[in-house]
Amino acid sequence: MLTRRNVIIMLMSIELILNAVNINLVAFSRLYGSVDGQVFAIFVIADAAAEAAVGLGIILAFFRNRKTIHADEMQLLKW
Amino acid sequence: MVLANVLFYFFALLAVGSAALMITRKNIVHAAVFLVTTLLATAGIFLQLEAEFLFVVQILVYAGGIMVLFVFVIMLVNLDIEVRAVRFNGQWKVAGALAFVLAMQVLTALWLGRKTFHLPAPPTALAARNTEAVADALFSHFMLAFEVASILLLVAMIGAVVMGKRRAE
Repeated sequence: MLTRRNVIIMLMSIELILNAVNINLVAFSRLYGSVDGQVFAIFVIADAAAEAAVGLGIILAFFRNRKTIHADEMQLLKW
Repeated sequence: MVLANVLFYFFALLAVGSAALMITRKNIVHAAVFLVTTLLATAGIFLQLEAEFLFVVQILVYAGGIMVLFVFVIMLVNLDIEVRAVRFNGQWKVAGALAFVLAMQVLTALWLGRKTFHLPAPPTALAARNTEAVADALFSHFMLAFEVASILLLVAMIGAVVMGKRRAE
C-alpha cells in the first residue's frame, strides 16, 4: 500500500522494527523476572547502531556516484 | 486510573502514532524527527518496565547516536527535488480491506481465548539494582557475546569510515 522508495526511509523503518523487538524482549524479561531479555536488547541496540552506520556509509558512497537515493534507480547489477 | 496505566497509554500511543506518522511523511527530515519521538517513547516504556539501564542506553545510543547519524546523512544527501514516488499504488483499497479482515480475525481469536491468559504476576525482585543485575549477567553469562559485539562494532566502525571516505579521484 505504502511504497516508499527512499532508501533512507527504509533504513529508518529497519530501526523501527528493531525497536519493536526490543520492547518485546524487555517486556518478557520483566514477566519472567530474568535480566537476560534486557541483555539481549542491549545487543540488538549495538547491532542496530553498527548496521545503521554501515548502511548510511553505503548510501553516502552511492549518492556521490549516482546522485540518487531512489531505490528503483539503484539497479546497476541488473541485466 | 492509576498513574502507571495513564503513563503507559501515553507512551504507547506516542510510539505508535509517531511511527505511523514517520512512514507517511513526504519530507525526510520530518520523518527523522518522528523517529526520534518514537525512540523516546520506547525509552519511556522501558523505564516503566523497570529496565533503567536500557532506558538510558536507548536515549544515549539510539536517539542520541543513531539519529544524529541519520540527520547528518539526510543533510549531506541534499536533494532539492523531493523524491516523488507513487506513494499509494492503485490497490490500496483491496489491501486495506484484507488487512481489516486479518485484524478482525486476530482480535476474534484473542477475544475467544481471553480466559486462557495466565500471566503470572511479575516479580518485584527485579526492581532493585537493575544496572548491577544487567552488568552481572553481561559480564559473566554473556561474556562471549559481549566480546563478539565489540568486534562487530570495531568492524562496523572501520567499514563506515571506508565507505564514507572520499576517494582520491
